[in-house]
Amino acid sequence: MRDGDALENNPRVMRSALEDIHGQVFGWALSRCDYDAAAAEDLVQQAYLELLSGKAVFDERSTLKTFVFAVVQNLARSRFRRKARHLKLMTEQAAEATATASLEEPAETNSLWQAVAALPARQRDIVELVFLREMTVEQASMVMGVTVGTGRVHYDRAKKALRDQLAEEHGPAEQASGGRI
Amino acid sequence: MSNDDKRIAEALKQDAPEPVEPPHFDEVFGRAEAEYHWQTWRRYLSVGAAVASVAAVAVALLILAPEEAPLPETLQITGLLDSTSWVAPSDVLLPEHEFDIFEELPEPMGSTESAEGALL
Repeated sequence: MRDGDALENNPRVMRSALEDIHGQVFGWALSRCDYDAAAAEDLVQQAYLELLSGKAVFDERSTLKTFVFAVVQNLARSRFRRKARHLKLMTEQAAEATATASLEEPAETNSLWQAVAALPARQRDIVELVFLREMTVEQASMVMGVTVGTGRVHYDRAKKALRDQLAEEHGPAEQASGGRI
Repeated sequence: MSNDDKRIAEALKQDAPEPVEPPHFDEVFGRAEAEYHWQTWRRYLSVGAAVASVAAVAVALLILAPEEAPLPETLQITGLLDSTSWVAPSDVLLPEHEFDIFEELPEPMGSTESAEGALL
């Protein structure tokens, strides 16, 4: 027996509940697709399809948001794995070109997001999930498919790197005034 | 969330990439639903097509298969059995005498009766 707007193959998922978190899911998908809006929309549609067909079944072991984020994360991983393999050579060439360029022209700004972008993938993910998507470390670990212990290690390392970056940006003056980051 | 975390979160949100307006939920969900229904139909269609193909092959085999060649006469076992009889040599004793001849054991050296010229 399912409620009025529950999905046929996912009786614990309400259509209205999905609508409530749609914006956040899209934001997460966007970051999984290098901020390509069309690819993110496609990814979200694919995630909804997984829920509709019952390939991904919500069992209420986490919040719906955590669950849908994990579905998006898994889809993004499998979808872009092959693409990434094909693009690996191109990326390596681009990285070489960027490295050369950065030697010639130092970046104008040294924002925190550049520090985030420089983090390893898992640390980057957990930073985004905790600080931007307002999840706990436990929820973020669930989305990433790692244990809470591993999630905490990534979180602490990422936070340390960002703290150093912030200290560098704001200079020793802020630290001297008691601003501990 | 500790103070450290709050400060990092604030700094990150300030510098976050420009938010992109999400597409309308009904639009995205509607497309997912349409895809789901199409996938369901496609599954039914492929199962139906597979069943129809198997049935067509079976019918074709039945129609086009050559009739079985008759067995050579020598191998027609039924006819062979009907036309052949065999009787064991000792069967001649059974219809009339059956166990009679074994009813009484002859007494060694005591019998003087004869049966058809032989001493019992």
